[in-house]
Amino acid sequence: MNFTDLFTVGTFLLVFVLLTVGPVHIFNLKRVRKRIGELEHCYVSKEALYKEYTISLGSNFCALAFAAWIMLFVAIAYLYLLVPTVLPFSYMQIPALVSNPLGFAVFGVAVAVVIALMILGLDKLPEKYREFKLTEMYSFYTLSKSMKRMIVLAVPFLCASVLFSAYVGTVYPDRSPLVELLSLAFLFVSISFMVTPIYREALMRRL
Amino acid sequence: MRGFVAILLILIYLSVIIAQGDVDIPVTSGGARVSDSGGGSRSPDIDNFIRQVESWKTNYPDRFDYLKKLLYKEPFNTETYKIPAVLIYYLGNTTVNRTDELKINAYVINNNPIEIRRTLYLTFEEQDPGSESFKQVNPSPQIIQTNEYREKLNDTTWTLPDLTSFQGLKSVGQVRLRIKVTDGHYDWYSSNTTTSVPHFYGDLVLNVKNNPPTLKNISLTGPNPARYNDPLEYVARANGTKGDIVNVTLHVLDEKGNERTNVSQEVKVGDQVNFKASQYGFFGESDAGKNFTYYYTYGDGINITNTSIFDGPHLRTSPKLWVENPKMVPEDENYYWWQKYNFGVDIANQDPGEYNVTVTLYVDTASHPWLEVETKTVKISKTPQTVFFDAHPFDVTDTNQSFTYKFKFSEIDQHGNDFIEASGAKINSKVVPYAIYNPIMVFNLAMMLILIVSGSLLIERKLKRGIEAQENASGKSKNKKVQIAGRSGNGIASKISSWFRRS
Repeated sequence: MNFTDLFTVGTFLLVFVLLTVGPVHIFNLKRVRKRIGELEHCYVSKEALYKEYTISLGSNFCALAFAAWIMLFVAIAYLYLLVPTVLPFSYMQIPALVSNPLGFAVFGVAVAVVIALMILGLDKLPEKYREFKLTEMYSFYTLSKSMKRMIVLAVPFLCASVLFSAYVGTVYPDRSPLVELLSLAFLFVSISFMVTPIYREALMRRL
Repeated sequence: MRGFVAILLILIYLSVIIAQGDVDIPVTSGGARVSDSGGGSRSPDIDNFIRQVESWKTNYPDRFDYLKKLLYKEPFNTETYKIPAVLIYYLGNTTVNRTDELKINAYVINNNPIEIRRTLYLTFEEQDPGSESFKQVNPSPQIIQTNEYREKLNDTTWTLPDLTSFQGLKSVGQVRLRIKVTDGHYDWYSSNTTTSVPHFYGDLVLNVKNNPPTLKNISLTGPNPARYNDPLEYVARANGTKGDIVNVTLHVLDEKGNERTNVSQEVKVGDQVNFKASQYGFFGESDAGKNFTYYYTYGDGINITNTSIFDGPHLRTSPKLWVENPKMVPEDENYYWWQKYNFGVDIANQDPGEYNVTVTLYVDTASHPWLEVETKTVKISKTPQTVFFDAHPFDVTDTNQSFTYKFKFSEIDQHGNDFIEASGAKINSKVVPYAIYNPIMVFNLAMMLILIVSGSLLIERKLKRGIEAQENASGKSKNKKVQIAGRSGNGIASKISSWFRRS
């Protein structure tokens, strides 16, 4: 299996994780609500559950987790949209950006702003749709210090992924499959850190 | 002897026929019959008779002439013969434009019986404006035969084919038309007949007017200022009545307003006149630096009009350039798009003296066809000098494309061109000008990461999701806010540190 094949496999895994993390999170919340209802022998509304069930995780952690989610999408954009090797459109086809000395920063910040706006948009949803709010995703889970550290650690890992992707951009139209793979690997490790509490809850939690 | 007897018998037979009366040759649809009044009948074929007469004409010309004389019938003239009435028949308006199409007819009534009718010879005559005499219109008289009249009505018409308009008229005004008629014995004119019937005229008097042509879209095409040998073209469009021929004369005036030369062209109305300076040799090398003017005269043969005077051309001085050796040296042999390229060309004046010459550098790629890069004005002399351009002529879209470059001059060179062109090279396909360790790249990535992290902190400080979920309901957050506000200073450092402080 060469670098290109590994990259393809890694991309599929990344897409799988991204597509499944949301449903798993919703599944976790539904299961908790169902168990509480069974224990209390009464109907538990979503609003009541969300009000009592959330856990304060601290501002710094939440800020860094928020940064990690934004960085995740920036890293994905850097990996797949910086050069037209995977998709037919890319940053390299925007002459005004490419020829701008601050083009890379503008590209990354633009992606970050779009993602931040989307996350903040979701944050405006009514309380009964709280499970869709990315800003409060971790507040439904009990996170140990080590788990928090691991999530925060995603930020430097994502920085590394961005760095490798940027390198791929600087050498374009030459290619460096190894560096592309490294970028994907760091990206995958980061997202693994970020979604571990959710999958862990789904797989291991016993109420 | 037998022959003599036969001829004698024929002569006796003919004399008997002549003595008995006229020969009547009734023509029927089936052929011809010859009958004598003395009873009995023979029916020789008329064709045989014609052939016989023709053979007489050929073989016995003298006898034949005598026979003709013998058979000639004097023109019949009696006191009952009436002079046929001849009129001009015209349906149109009597006020016409010079180029209007006309249809003029002759109308003849001949009430004489056909036996006494004579052949008429009609000639149209025209009296032009200002002229005392009439001129013949149709080159040869039109013959009206005795049998060309309609039965009962006894009239006939004939359209004059030789006068369809007055386009060739040299002046406008009243044109009088009449018909001269002759029948061999009498001559008379249509003017002799008067009538009040509409559209019938003895003399037809037409008031002919003229629409003078105009000259539109007058322009002088070509560069301005121009060189004496530049392709200058005087252009104008002749407007007016359709079908007119307009004579257009171009007058070129020198700096003092004196006429230097004039040339003429004839064009149809609607067409364009083009006077090419090079074709007529209006200007020579000695005219360099002079300013000229021009005007037109134009007319249709009747009206002649002058235009106002127009400026142009302004000819500029034309020093002869010597241009050679275009060259290009890139800042780096990799031919990256972001690099500087040094272009140069050797240039000198072929004549003594110094002149200011403008040199413009152009580069041509598929993305930017003949992009103007830079223009310089240099003073040139007999001594060759190199004009340099140190430029960034390309952008990122030019990557991986070959380029050509050229220098364009404000004057012509030794080859008669005003530019010199050369091939460049292929631009490197590399897009991003910075290596990953380049300070600009480091700054880019660092700035991006700082903005994202600090932005996240700011948003969290605003949303307070880290405490709100649990503490908001119990009212703890309000108390904490008060405490934190008390601890925080007003400085920027305090504000930044407060972002990282737990609420």
